Parts: sequence; structure tokens; C-alpha cells
Amino acid sequence: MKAWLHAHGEALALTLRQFWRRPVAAFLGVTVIAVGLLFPVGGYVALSNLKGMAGAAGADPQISLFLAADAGAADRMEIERRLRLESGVKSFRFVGKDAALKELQTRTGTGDLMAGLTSNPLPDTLLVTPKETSLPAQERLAASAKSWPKVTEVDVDAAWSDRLRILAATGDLVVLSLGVVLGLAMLAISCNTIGLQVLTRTEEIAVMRLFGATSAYVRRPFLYFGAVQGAAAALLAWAVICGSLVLIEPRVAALLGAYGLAGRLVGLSIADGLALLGFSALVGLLGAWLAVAER
Amino acid sequence: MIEFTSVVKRYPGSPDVLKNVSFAVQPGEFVYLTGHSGAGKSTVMRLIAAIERPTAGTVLVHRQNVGRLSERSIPFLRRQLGMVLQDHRLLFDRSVFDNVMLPLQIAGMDRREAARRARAALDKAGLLGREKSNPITLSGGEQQRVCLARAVVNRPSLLIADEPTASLDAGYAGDILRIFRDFHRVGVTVLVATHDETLVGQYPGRTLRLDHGSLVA
Repeated sequence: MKAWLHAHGEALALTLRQFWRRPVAAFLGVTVIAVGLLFPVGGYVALSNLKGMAGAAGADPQISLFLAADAGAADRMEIERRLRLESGVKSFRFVGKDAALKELQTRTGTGDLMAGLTSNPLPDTLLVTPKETSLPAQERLAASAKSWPKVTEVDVDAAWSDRLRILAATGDLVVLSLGVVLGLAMLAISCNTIGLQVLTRTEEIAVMRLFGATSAYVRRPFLYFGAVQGAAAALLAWAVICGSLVLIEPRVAALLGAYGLAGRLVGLSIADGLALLGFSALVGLLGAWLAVAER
Repeated sequence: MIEFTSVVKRYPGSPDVLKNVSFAVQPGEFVYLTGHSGAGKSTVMRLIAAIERPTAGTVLVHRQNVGRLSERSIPFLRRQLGMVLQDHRLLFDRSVFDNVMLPLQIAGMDRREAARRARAALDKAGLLGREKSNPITLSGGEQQRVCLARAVVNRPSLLIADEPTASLDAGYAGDILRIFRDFHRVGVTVLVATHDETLVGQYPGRTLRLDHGSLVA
């Protein structure tokens, strides 16, 4: 066990010395792989933030129940009782017509125009959040509510959340595809870089073999090089993502503010970062293994 | 220690390089393997180091049959040998010291002990003080001495040398032979392949003579 650890320690030290001896070449190799990683990882971070912002902006589907103008408190309580009994309702909220008018004035900035109205044209409304987000389930709930007394109109506001869901699913697919394609590219880069190293060190390997080096001994430094290069590329990509978020955060905050929203950009979590590190090191190791096995 | 029995070595499309060669080298012997260029001396050395395998016959080194040795076992056989090669095979991207350290690193020796042994081997080869030099800056004789230090650093019981003095003048050749002699005196078995007949008389030893792949003496 001690000899095994010693052999691995030597191989790792040799790898680190190689990086130290040729820092520019090592940095360029790491940069190429890091750029390859940036696309899927950047896409993943962008998508995570987009989903977060959409959630904050009320991306949950909503069904609006508009009450009749002559609906009284007893009618409203009856409708609320029925909503409580509905298994498909997650929550609901009453918005009185005065509150609705005030909100409309604030959102649209048409205070003066609204002040000119002789009466409030808006109805009392119950905003219902359904449990199920699928359109058929929401339509079933809406059809049921429409038959209730004093409910004049039911509006299923699923289009926005549906579009967002489709967009997010497409984005996920694009990021996954990019990840697979660029993972393969990374594998090829690693394989090629280490393949060239094997070729340039042919004489050294031959001499090592003459003095009793086993295949594992010869292979080990190359495998470590691949893994360390991959891990370093992941760290670089992670750092670039963090730096980019710091740079663009004020602009995004300003953009959100223009829509009356607030939020912070979120980078890779520690768990995500470690997963990236592990994945990249593993791909580097695999590339090195292929290069060494081929030659 | 070394035993060749009816060994034949043949490469496709060429005449036999070794023809029915049989000999044995006992522990503690000093043996010269002589013959003209192309007689098969290097092939004998390559068979002993398991770089090649015999086409027919048996090659035993340290009681291990080279012809039947698995690929995984070959490195461990080589670790028991000290090898000096005609073309030096030194690595010019590292110092003399690191070149000598190489067999010990491969064997997985503790770095401190390996460094101590490497310095001792360089001392025996008369190169102490040159350990930080790059081998490319050394003369041919000094490079050969680095090879010798590298060959003996893991204290092998068998030292084989293929034309160790081929590119050296008489003075340097004598120095190299003296170092072989020193190792032989402490019990190391030495097999030196050389075409230089004048070298053979300089230190007593048994002579094996190869002629066109056959052992003649």
C-alpha cells in the first residue's frame, strides 16, 4: 500500500513539475479545454438564472375567476368554499375591484386617465393557482368554475407559463447537447495533447522500459496529466463564470428593475462546481487513457 | 546466472542471427563476448534483457525462462540487471543525477535513500561533482560512466554491457574497464560484449567468441 501511494505521489509530482516547467504551454492547453467547458456551463448558469427570474415574475400558471358585478360577500364566500373543496386548487387570493384598479393604475402609469372614469369597470376577482400545471387540468378546473353562480368569466392564464416551460425544456436540451458535443471535443483535445506528449517522450519511455518500468508506471504520469489538465480547465471555467456574473450583474439588475422586478444572479453552487471539476477531470483522464492505449 | 541452450534467433526474411548457441555464465564470473560486427553479440545481450525472445532454444536469466516470461514479468527481470548500452540511451532533458536516479525511481525506492545511492554510484564512476550537469555537456567517456552509474545504482548481481567502449579512445576505455573490474571484485557477475580484442587482455576473464551467429570458443 505504501509503495502504491508512493508511486502515485511520484506520478502526481512529476505531472505538476511538467506544468511548472512549461507554464505557457500548460496554460494554453488548459485554456482550450476551459473554453470548451464555458459554453455548456455558461448555458446552464444562464438557464438557471432565467428559470429563477421567471419564477420570481410569477411564472406559476394562474386562473382568474371574474365575479358578477352584483355578487355580494355571501356569493364570494360560497365560491371560496367551493374552491377549498376542489382538489386541483393549490391556493387562491381575492382581489377586490378597487385594489385591482389601483394596481392597474400603478402598473400602466395611467393614473390620470383612470381618474377620469365615473365608475370602476373592473370586477371582483379570485386568482386561483392550480396544483397541476398541465393545460388540460387547468381547463377542467376552469370549466367547473365557470358553471358556478355569480362567476361570469374564467380566464386560464397558461400561455405564458407554458411558453416558459417549453423554452426552459428546449434550453435544457440545448445545454445537454452542447455538453455532450463539447465533452466529446474535450475528450479529443485531451487525447490529442497527451498523444503528442507520448510521441515526444518516446525515447524516455523506451529507456524507462529498459530499466524495468511497468506499463502502469509509464502510463501513470500521462493519466495524471490528463486529469489535472481537466480539473484545471474546470477551475478556470468556473472562475470565468464567476467573474462574468460579477461584471454583468449591475446591468441585469437595471434591466429587471425596468420591469419592476428584483433579483440576484446566481453562479454555480459548490456542488455544481465540484461536479464540473469531477466531470472535467474524468474526461481528461479518459482522453489520456485513450491516447496512451492507442500508442 | 545466465544459461543459453541451443538458442536460435531468426528475423523474418533474414538468415539466422544466432545459430544453436549454448553457453552458461556462473555467478561471480567475468566474461567477454567477442566477435566481429554483426556476429550476434548485441542479439545475445537483447535476449538476456528480454528485449527479444529466442526463436528456438532456451534462455535462462536468474532461473527465469525469457522465452516464456509474461509481458508483466519482464520489467521485474530487468530490475535485476544492470545494463550498459552502446548508444548510452541517456535522457538529455534532465541532469546526470536524475538519469542515475531513474532505475531507483522505477523500483519505487524512497527518494532520500535513492539519492544517497545515486551519489554513491556517481562517486564510484568518478562523476561526483558533475551530478547537476546535463549529460549532453559531458564527453563520450563521461557519458559512458553515467551509463555505468545508472546500471549499477540498484546494485544488480548481473551487469551486462554492449560495446561499452566502442566510441571511446584507449584511455577512456581503460577507465571504463577498471570500473567493471571494481564491481566484479565485489561479487558482481559481468558480461561485456566487445569487438575490441585489445580490451580482452586488460583484465582476466573467460572469453566467448561469436562468428556469424555461432559460438566458436
